[in-house]
Amino acid sequence: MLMQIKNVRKQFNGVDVLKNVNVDVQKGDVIVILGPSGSGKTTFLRCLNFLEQADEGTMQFDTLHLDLSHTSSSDIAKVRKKTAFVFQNYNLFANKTALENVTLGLTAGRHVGKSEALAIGRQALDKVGLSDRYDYYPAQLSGGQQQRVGIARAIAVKPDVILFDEPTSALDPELIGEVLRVMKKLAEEGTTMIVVTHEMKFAQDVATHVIFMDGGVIVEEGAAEDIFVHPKHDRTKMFLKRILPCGGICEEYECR
Amino acid sequence: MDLDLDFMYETFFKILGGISTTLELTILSLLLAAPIAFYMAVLRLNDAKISSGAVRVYVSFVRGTPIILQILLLYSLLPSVLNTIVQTLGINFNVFDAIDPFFYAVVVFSLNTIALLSEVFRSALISISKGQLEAGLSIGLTRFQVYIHVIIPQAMVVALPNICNITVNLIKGTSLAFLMTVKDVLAIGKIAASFGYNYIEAYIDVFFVYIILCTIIQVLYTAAESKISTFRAMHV
Repeated sequence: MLMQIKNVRKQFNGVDVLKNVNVDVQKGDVIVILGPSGSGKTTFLRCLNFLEQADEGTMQFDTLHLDLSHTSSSDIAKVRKKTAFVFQNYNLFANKTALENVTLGLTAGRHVGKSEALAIGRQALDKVGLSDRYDYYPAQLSGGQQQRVGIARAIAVKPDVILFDEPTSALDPELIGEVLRVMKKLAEEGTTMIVVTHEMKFAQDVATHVIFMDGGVIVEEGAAEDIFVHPKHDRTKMFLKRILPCGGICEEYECR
Repeated sequence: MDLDLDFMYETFFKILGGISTTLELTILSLLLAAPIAFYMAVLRLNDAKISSGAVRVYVSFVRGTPIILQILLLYSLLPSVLNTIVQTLGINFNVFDAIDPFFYAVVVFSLNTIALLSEVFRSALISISKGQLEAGLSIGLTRFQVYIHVIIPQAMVVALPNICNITVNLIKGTSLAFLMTVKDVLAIGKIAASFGYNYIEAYIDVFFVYIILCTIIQVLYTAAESKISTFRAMHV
């Protein structure tokens, strides 16, 4: 077991955003978290690398045993060195070129030598199909390209798990495909990923485990096929009905 | 009305000699103020209740009073306070003779600049999206590293036009140091004029010296701005 996350609770101004969420992550898993907005998916993801501090909960990560509500800054640093995060709004460093965006986590964060960092950075950008954009600033890149730099920045630091927070939600429809293709490639290579998304096709094709969240709890979880073809819970059925083109009545797994 | 052109010509170069005092006063005040102002800006952004409130009160004191009053007040107050301290400590040191008024001028203009700069820094830091800080943290950088590599370089670009403003205002403001008997550009002009009542000539000289000086400063800032903002170059 790579990660075991238990009993995560989180309140914002007295409102329960997460109520007792448990997730297990095996190496190589692609866990897709689905759910309507406001269901707590993003907050849960942000709690995993302490961009948000949970009020309660524990995390076992490799050899680390952490209490999520009282984590020392050195433990937070350890977790952040083992994880990477891909943001909905890319959050690229605006004053750095694509290549510098990717190498900063290596040179400043991990004290990797400059030439080695550059080699790793180029490799990462090549992988996401941006070999011709090394020296472009974020302002000169399209949304899809920016998000691919964001993914390159995440894979360059060779994390144990990459957390994706709605990586395609801010993109024009025609740019979504290029980002999903990169993510699919990573999944096929065995990268451990936790992905919050609304891309059902991606979830169906790539997820090893699908979680459906609503109101701060996990309503239903299982293999992609179970969730999409045989959802048990009414809340899940309703959600799928609204979001899938076939209206949620999936006779076949490949409904889309 | 005839202008004494020979006097104007001679005096112009005398007045140019005052630029060093004016610039020293300006640069020293800016350099002393910048780190403190930055720290104050960060305090206010972190919203620590007491320190943030104290900064706010300080800024409103400086902004809410004319600089000429600040000069008069501190120039009356500071030497006496220092003298009392020296006397109580039993040190044999004559504050009134030994300390150059230039020192008091630096103190006044620094205190003034701290307040103005802290607001400039604060607004510049706010303008950089919090997401970039989070992105930096998420790839294992410390908060300090993210500030050094990402936030401050971008905030500087936003702040620079305002810093230019403050610098030019400070250059002009230092002419008030005359009140503290500091011999800057304006003071030299005034003294030269007083011998033969050539005030108009002297003031025209001073006018040109300030215009030239402030224009050069603005050109330098514009050059600096375009140099550090290359990343904002062209959008797709």
